[in-house]
Amino acid sequence: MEIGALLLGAVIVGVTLYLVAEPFIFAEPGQPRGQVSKAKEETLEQKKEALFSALGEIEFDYRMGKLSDEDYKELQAVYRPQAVALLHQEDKAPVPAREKGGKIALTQPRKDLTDIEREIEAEVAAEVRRLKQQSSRGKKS
Amino acid sequence: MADVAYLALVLAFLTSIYAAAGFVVGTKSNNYRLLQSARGGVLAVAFLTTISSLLLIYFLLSGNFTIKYVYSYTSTHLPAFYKFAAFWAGNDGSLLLWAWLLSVFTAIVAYSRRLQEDAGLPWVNVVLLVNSIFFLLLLITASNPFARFDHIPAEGRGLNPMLQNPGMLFHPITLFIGYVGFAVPFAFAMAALITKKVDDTWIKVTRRWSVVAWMFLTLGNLYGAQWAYVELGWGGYWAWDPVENASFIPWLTSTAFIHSIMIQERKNMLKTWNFSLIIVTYLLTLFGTFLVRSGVLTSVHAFGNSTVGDMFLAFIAIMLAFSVFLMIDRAHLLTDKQELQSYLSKESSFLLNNLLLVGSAFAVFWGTVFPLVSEAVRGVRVTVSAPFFNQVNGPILLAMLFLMGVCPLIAWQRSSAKNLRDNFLWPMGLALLVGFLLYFVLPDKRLLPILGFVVTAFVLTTILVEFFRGARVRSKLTGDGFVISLGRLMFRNRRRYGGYVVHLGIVLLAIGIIGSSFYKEELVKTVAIGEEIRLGPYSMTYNGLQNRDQGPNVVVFAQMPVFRNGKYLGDAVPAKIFFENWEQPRTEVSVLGSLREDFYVILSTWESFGKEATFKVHINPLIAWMWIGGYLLIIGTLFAVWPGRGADLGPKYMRGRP
Repeated sequence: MEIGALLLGAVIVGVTLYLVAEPFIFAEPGQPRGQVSKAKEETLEQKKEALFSALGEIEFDYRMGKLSDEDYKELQAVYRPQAVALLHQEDKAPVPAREKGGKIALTQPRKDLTDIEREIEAEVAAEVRRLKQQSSRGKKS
Repeated sequence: MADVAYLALVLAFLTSIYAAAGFVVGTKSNNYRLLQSARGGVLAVAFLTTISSLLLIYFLLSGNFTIKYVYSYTSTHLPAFYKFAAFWAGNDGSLLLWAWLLSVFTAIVAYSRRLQEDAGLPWVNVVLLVNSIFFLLLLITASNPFARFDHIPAEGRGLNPMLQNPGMLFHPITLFIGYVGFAVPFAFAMAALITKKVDDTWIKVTRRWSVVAWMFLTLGNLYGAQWAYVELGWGGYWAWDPVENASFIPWLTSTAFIHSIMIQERKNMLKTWNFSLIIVTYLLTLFGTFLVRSGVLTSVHAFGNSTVGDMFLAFIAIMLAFSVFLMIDRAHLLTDKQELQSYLSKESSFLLNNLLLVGSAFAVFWGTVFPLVSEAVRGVRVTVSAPFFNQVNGPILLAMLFLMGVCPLIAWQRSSAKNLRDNFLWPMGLALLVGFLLYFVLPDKRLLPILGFVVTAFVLTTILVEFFRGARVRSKLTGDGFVISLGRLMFRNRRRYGGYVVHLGIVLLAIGIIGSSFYKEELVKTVAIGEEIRLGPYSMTYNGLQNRDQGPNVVVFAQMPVFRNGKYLGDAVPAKIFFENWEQPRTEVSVLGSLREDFYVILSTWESFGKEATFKVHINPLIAWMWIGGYLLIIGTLFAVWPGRGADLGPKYMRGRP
């Protein structure tokens, strides 16, 4: 057998052995990451994004003529209160749970929200402010 | 050196077994180091198959005829391009290609950063490695590409001339990437069943794999059709050859799959159906390969080896039993919590599209295997030919096309009659107008192709209306101009609008298929020197035959100026190539193409040293649109799956349980 073949044979055996044996020699006997099934909790931010996306799509489908008035109202009635509740929750959340840099999402909307979703978010935020004002007036009186 | 290449395959086989066992034991015993070692094994298998493949390419290019495979598929004068493509010209090489692609895909999955937290990943690797074990076992036993002669043959047998076409580079590779690509979603599906985590995670993780694999499968079929069109010299592109069908059937089921997974992502429905579809698609990719490798068929594609066939059949049976067992055992986890709320909804149109696709797949499958079944049972091979496939699939595919137009216009959950009326009025009206115009304008009054064009016009309009309305609504909502709104609409919902572009590609494909199937004209004519051939508006005069050398081969050709309605178009140069080391000459068709039609000329035979020659001449209308549709389909798919903003699932809403 020629030298080149012998060398190549040695390389393929060597590389294979190294790849298979390396973790036993060098790796820490750490936590098997593939074992841990962390059901990642949806963050407030992800929930908010999903909710406003859905509201955006409802609005878009309605204006595209795919949703009837009745369905549109029904879906709005389901999703808008959830969005209001979520923004309330976000207001109460500690700063780190908000946007990076501590800025509140209401005043600094996420960049990846579309214009339509931003518009809806602003509308819902206005609704939240109105509700807050009503409740503070109620407390004062 | 061939021994080293073989050694690499044996090592890859042993390492695959080690890695699969390592993942199972490591998972059960929570042994991190063993799991990491198994992962290293996956990389080692990819490395070893890469070495083997590169060595085979080196042997092919350097003309090492002591290796039987190199001797069988190359010769000294074969251009380097085809020496390289000979890698997958035969059984052994194409199985090595399969194993190589599979091991590289497995390594990509095993080392994917975002999957490292996934508890199912070790099982995904196990399933993929089981596939590798099978293919490597084939390669080191029944189908060794590095088997050698005791002597050194002076010359190789050369590559079958029919395979000496640029299509040889694109058709097998794209088809194989498509085939092997579907092993990945299958492995994730199996891992989901094994770990009892049957939500839509496996679908989300593998959506890109599935869509890209589907794109390659589509391309593989299209390149095959294009190759057949220019190479086989019978004037068509699809003959319902069993091996063509073998790659078309998984295309149908995978098309159903990439649509039905959307329902699970959005509505948490159709779990069992999606598992079934990916299992069937994966098994059909194996079955397609079995048909080609086993030698049960005689076809331009078939290179038989009964041992390989038996092993394939056994492996298909094992994987079928394994996946069906898992499905049955986990059936209690697969019940859907949601139900269809209305028959007039996007999801019900998806479901109907799925039923049509699967129905068509079953019809093609039955037509393909029936000759084999009849031969096995009665000893007589009954031929199932093109008319059966056309009659059964024509209406199904037309209905599917219609649904493609309906689907974008209706909402998820349910649509009202008013919505339907408002959205369908224009597209339907325009499509009917096209139908009437075609009926009165075309000399051929057959209703079926006109119905086909009405449906394509309907689908085309609905898709364009979807773009137009979407941009208009967005423009109103945001105050941006129409063009900016259209761009943002598309880029921010790439998945949806990329899908529509793919649909546009399919519509163009359908236009090409309808035009070239129903309106083609053919003529077979023997002419003497100086005589004219006329077909439709085309005419050309035969000037005798000429010949020239092409390396060791001789090309005999006729050069005829072609006129359309008296206007010179170019020269038709149909030819036959006689090969030094192959009995049958190869036919080179001459195509003068335009968007309207192809003028297609074949030199059939000649007598008296070319004083008389027989030509087959075809006019194939609209066929260019098939290929344009194919490219649009690629653009749409890439647009939809390209990573980054807008590529994820669009927003979703549902009643009851948001």
